[in-house]
Amino acid sequence: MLDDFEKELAYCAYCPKLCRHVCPVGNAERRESVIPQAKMAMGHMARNGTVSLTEDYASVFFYCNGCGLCTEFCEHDIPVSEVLFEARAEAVARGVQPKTLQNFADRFYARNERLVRKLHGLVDEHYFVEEAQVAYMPGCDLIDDSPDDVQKTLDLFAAAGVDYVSIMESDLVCGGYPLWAAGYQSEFRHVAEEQARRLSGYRKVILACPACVYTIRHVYPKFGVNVTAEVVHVSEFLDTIAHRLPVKQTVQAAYYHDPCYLGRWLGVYEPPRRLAGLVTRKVLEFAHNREQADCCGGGGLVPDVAPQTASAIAERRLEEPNQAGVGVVVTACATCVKNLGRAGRDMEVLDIVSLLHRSLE
Amino acid sequence: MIGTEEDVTQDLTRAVGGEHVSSRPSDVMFYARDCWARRHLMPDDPPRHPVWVVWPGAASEVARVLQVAGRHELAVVPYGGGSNLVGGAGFGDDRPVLVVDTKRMSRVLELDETSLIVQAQAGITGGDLDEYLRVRGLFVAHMPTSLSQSTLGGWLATRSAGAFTSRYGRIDRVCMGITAALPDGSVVRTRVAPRRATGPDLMHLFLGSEGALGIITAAHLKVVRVSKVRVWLAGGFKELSQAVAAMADIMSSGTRPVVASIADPVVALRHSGQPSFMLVCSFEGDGELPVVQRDEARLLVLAHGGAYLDPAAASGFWTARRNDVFGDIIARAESRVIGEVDIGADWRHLAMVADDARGRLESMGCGVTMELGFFGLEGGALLCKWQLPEISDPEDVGLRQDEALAIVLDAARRGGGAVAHHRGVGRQRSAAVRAQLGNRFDLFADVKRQLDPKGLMNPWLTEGA
Amino acid sequence: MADTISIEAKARQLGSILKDDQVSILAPDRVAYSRDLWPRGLIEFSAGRPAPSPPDVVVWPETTQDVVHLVEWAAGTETPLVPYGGGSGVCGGAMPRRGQVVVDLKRMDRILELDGPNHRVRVQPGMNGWTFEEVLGRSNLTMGHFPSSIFCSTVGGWLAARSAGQASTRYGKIEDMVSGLEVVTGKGEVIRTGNPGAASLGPDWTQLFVGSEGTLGIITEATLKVLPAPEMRVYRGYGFDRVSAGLEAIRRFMQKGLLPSVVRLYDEFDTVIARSGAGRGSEADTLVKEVMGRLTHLTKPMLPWVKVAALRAALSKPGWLNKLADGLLPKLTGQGCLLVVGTEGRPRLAQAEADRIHEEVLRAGGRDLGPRPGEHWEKHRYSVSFKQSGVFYSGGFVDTMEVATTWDGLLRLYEAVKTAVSPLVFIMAHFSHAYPEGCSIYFTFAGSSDDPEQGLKLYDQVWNTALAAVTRAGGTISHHHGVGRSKQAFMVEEHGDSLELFRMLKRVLDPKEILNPGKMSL
Ligand SMILES: Cc1cc2nc3c(=O)[nH]c(=O)nc-3n(C[C@H](O)[C@H](O)[C@H](O)COP(=O)(O)OP(=O)(O)OC[C@H]3O[C@@H](n4cnc5c(N)ncnc54)[C@H](O)[C@@H]3O)c2cc1C
Ligand SMILES: Cc1cc2nc3c(=O)[nH]c(=O)nc-3n(C[C@H](O)[C@H](O)[C@H](O)COP(=O)(O)OP(=O)(O)OC[C@H]3O[C@@H](n4cnc5c(N)ncnc54)[C@H](O)[C@@H]3O)c2cc1C
Ligand code: SF4
Ligand code: SF4
Repeated sequence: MLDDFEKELAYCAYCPKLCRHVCPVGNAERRESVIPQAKMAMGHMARNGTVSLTEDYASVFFYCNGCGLCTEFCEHDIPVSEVLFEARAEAVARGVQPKTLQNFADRFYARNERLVRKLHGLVDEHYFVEEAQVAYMPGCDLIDDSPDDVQKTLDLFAAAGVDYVSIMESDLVCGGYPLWAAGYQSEFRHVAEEQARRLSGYRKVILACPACVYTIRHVYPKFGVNVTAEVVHVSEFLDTIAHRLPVKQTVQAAYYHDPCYLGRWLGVYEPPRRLAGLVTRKVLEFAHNREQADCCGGGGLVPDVAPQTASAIAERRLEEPNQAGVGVVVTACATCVKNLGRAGRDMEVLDIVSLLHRSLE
Repeated sequence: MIGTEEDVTQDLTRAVGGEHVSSRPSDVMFYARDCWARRHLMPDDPPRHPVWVVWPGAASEVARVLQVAGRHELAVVPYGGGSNLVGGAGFGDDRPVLVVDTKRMSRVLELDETSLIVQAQAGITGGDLDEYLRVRGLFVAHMPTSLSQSTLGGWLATRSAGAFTSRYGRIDRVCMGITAALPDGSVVRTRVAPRRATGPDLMHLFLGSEGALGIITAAHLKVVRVSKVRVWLAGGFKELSQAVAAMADIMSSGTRPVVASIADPVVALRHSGQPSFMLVCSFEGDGELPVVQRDEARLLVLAHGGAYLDPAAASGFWTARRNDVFGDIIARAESRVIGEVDIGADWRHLAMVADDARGRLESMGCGVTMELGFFGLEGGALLCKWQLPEISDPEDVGLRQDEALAIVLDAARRGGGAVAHHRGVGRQRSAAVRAQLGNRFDLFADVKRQLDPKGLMNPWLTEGA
Repeated sequence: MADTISIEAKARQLGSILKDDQVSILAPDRVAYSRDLWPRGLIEFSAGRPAPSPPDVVVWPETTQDVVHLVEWAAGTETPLVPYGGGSGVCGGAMPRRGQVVVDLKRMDRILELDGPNHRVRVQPGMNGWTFEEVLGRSNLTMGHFPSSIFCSTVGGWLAARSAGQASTRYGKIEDMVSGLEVVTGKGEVIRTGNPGAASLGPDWTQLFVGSEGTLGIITEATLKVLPAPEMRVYRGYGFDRVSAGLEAIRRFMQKGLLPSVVRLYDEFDTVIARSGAGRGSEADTLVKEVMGRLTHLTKPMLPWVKVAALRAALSKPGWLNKLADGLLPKLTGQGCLLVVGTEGRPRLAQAEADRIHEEVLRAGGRDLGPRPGEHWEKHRYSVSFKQSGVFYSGGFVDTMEVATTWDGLLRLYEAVKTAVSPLVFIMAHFSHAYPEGCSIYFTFAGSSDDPEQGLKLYDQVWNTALAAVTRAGGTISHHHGVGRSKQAFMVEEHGDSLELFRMLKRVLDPKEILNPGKMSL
């Protein structure tokens, strides 16, 4: 088990907890067992048989947002979350995953089915075009929690004179990130293969979900699944057509929050900022931004496993705009919008798409 | 007391040798008081002489003396220079009092010129220690105004401060370790290292204990090389608050002034010709650095609305303070109408506390001068001096003095500051300090019970706790 | 009595004092809190004993009142409490034993008041070091406290274990930075020390709680001094042929009253490490491998018989390695010892201070190496901690021993330790934390054995040998890591009869011995 990561596990196990201060989960829980070093040490012990994985022991693997902050900080570049997701798979294989993630695959499929139906109810049928070369794939959290943003995205395309984008016709609205993160690897592989076939029917697919862009671009290949279509995030695409967007500056000031998968994992920092700048007089930076940006707490299924922790992380993230008295936070990920939005009572947290749409002339 | 006075005298003689024990009136009468001026205003309470004075020569002798005291259950008063202004030494007790005068323990035990550390016995006077070191190009960076009148042991026991405290800290930052004789007749030494992380710094148990826990017999102190260059800075300010703000910035600027004071306009006038609050700093070292430090500090003076005054005003103030103030204080100590007390406050409250005390003293009809000094990073001390108006009824003077003192201590309290800054607590203000210490005072009493179960040492200090 | 209550019963009782989410008996928590970063624990870990003695329960107080209630409960049930900050201590100070309850203070991590005009900040003990400096930095302030463990340690741990940071020479050590504490004693009393601290009479309690490693009270709040963040830093490196010459230079400028922020003199071997490209992407990612690599690289052309020894093989012959380092290294590298000095503050002051130090160092025979070595140091100032993993991963161990003494005995101490320990492990040192009166020596030693059990034996032997040499040479056994469990056998040598005073304080403050018992030789 976890043999590919033998060295990584040991390095962290013997590390003097050097990245503890950046881990959002560790900082929210203040629990010594969920800092990166300890989670990896648990993996190390499980691998060499020092402990036998029980649900209690395995639980720590699931206290990870996959935010990549530890890796960013680490001078050994240890990909902690990747290793922990692998360890989750081990837990799932032994049936010791957290209660809330039992039968997760079934729930994933059920949710998918519901969201497919919902998507069709959200937008007019004419957006689903056969033989389209370029498709838009909204993703689960957007459809589920920011449904209006789907139409807004399409409006923006139209406003910029882009009329060739169709909504991706599929019975799968997700790239499978949740399955990967939950450690349901065989189900993930299945979804990846299925989705890859569908994606490859297009030349380019524009995704709203950064986690799925990352998953498709970088995780699929590790499972031997390749996608021929070019997969881009909606902010990257909008950035290329931004000069044609008829928008004006209507917002005084807004903080921009980097989604972990879009920023650290995909390296997309500037496009969403440029977009925000089109309609915002002052795009404010968090003290921790870009490579150092703090997580919103929504990734890695932490909201499913430890909802209070996820909100605590979000609250921490919003402390800065709160203190500065700035009421708008813009980001480029529906999961971030959802998790930050839940925590920010007096704060408006919105997707860049929504912000742009509001300023359409 | 257990046993007769003769028994005690015999035991003491065995402990330190007959020539170092005395019950002669001509000796004991001098130990009935220290420099607490208020004492003179207590005609109804004539000084109670100690029964014995002993002059031990070393820690082992002090230990033997304390064994004797324990055996006979005497009250023991350690006595250094007797220069404290608060009634800390030289006071009677219901029990027969044994004064342990430390001044025969006046030797330098070791001078490590490589590490710049001196070890001296506790009874050495500041003047003697300073002289010993100066000829070697060194000095202890602790310069209380009472330098020649006070002892190393007294400094440590009162946690005193000196003219160079703003740069080098109080005596507790200058001291690196102590030897003390405990009431049970044993001797402890805290070990010396540049720094250690092996538990609490135990010398702090005895620093500031005003003789209640044992007798300090020797100490290791840091010494400093005499610097080649000293430059002065003087700034004039209309408002005290401006001067305080400038000083706060100077203290955090890394310019590291050695002398740092703020003088009242009446005092400043004498030196600068300007009736404004005068900020005084010296910068010391060698090469260009002190000049750069002074220049940077000057910018801060200007930034707070200060006027740049002739540096000669600063050095003049300093020289006068050194030369005159001492005579001044002695005069005051003898005087019945002059009073003086040291209190502390943080930067935000220093000026407020000063104004508060000044205002209320003046409405009593007092003449008031203030000096601010002994700064740290967070604030500093205020030396408040007053002169009572002519009082027709001499009986009234004591009460009026108490009233004036109470006003100043109250001002400190109202400003969240300290009712005793560096001159000890003694009898003068033990009630006020106890109130301020709260449960820390009880802890002190607990420690005293552990170290001094028979309550031999300066017993009145923790009375009632 | 503590042992008679079951773990579950303890948790239930604690759950009625605190909220449920403040109490855990979860297996992974008990494992994680069973040790701190005492390297001996890592050897145990590699021997398959990750948690030799886990605590019964872990609790997370959120207020001072919570702590008071915990202490009252502990006194009532005679259950020892072990305060726990970042658990970054390297002496087993925060390591519990079976039956004990770990009190993690990290939920008390707020800044209560930032008082700029008075240059101070009131902060709770669980505040993470790095986060704290970041927050201060946003107000253009700094505490100037930068221990290498700044990422993983807490303010409370700094105070409790007497931490000293990399810039201690200028800013002071933690005891110089603290002006007040709130402490809950073993009697459940809340003591507020310090301000109005000048009120004398009786001990400076702040100074008696600092360094007490959780044995006298639990720190629940601290008032710390803060300074304007420096506007400029000036670094300079100097070369010396011998350690002694470098030390003499340091002594000179320190005794002139100059206050550099950084002073580091590396002995011959440590110099190689200090100048090497540390960090990300470096090929040799372990400390010793790097040294070996460089040694080999340097010696190859001249000494063909020096083979690239495998790390462990090399470490198993430490005597040879140490001799090689001593004898050949200076000649081969031609760099001798490196001294890095940094000054900081307002630009003109920082520069003027650097210039004065420069003069003194040159006068003492230093060779000017320009700003590069210092800038290199700053860039990699925290990198060396990352190297621990590699050494343990390859079956070795590494630990550090920081001792100190006054100038007159410093070289003797240095030689004594090297002589005593070099037959056992590979050893190198640097001198940092300088004072007018003396200096600390920071030894790093790395060793290896065939299996972890032997490793433990060797490890213990090294420490006993080293500490005995230190006390014989008149040094202090710890400059800034504390005592905890690992050094407590030497507390008598360290303090002599004054240790009794510490024990007396313990009786006064914690008569029932419920606060971190079994540590510090109390
Ligand atoms: C003119 C003048 C100027 C002054 N200026 C300053 C000043 O600038 N800064 C300042 O801080 N103070 C000043 N003082 C106050 C006084 O000098 C200090 O408090 C000094 O520290 C007292 O030292 P001493 O040796 O005279 O002690 P004493 O007055 O003899 O004793 C003071 C207290 O300490 C105890 N004690 C003395 N020796 C020992 C010992 N070896 N072990 C244990 N306990 C002992 C005594 O019992 C007593 O309680 C001044 C006083 C005068 C008269
Ligand atoms: C890689 C590395 C580098 C290091 N570098 C340095 C350095 O440069 N300088 C330095 O000084 N140290 C250094 N250390 C040692 C360590 O980081 C310090 O001792 C630090 O102060 C410990 O803080 P902590 O919060 O981790 O405390 P812990 O390890 O959790 O606890 C340390 C001790 O303090 C007690 N304690 C903790 N919190 C409290 C509290 N609130 N009240 C009472 N007691 C408490 C614990 O019981 C324990 O005895 C280093 C350690 C590592 C691993
Ligand atoms: S990711 Fe790097 S810094 Fe973090 S615990 Fe692992 S080795 Fe240490
Ligand atoms: S990826 Fe993020 S959440 Fe996961 S361990 Fe690293 S820092 Fe923590």
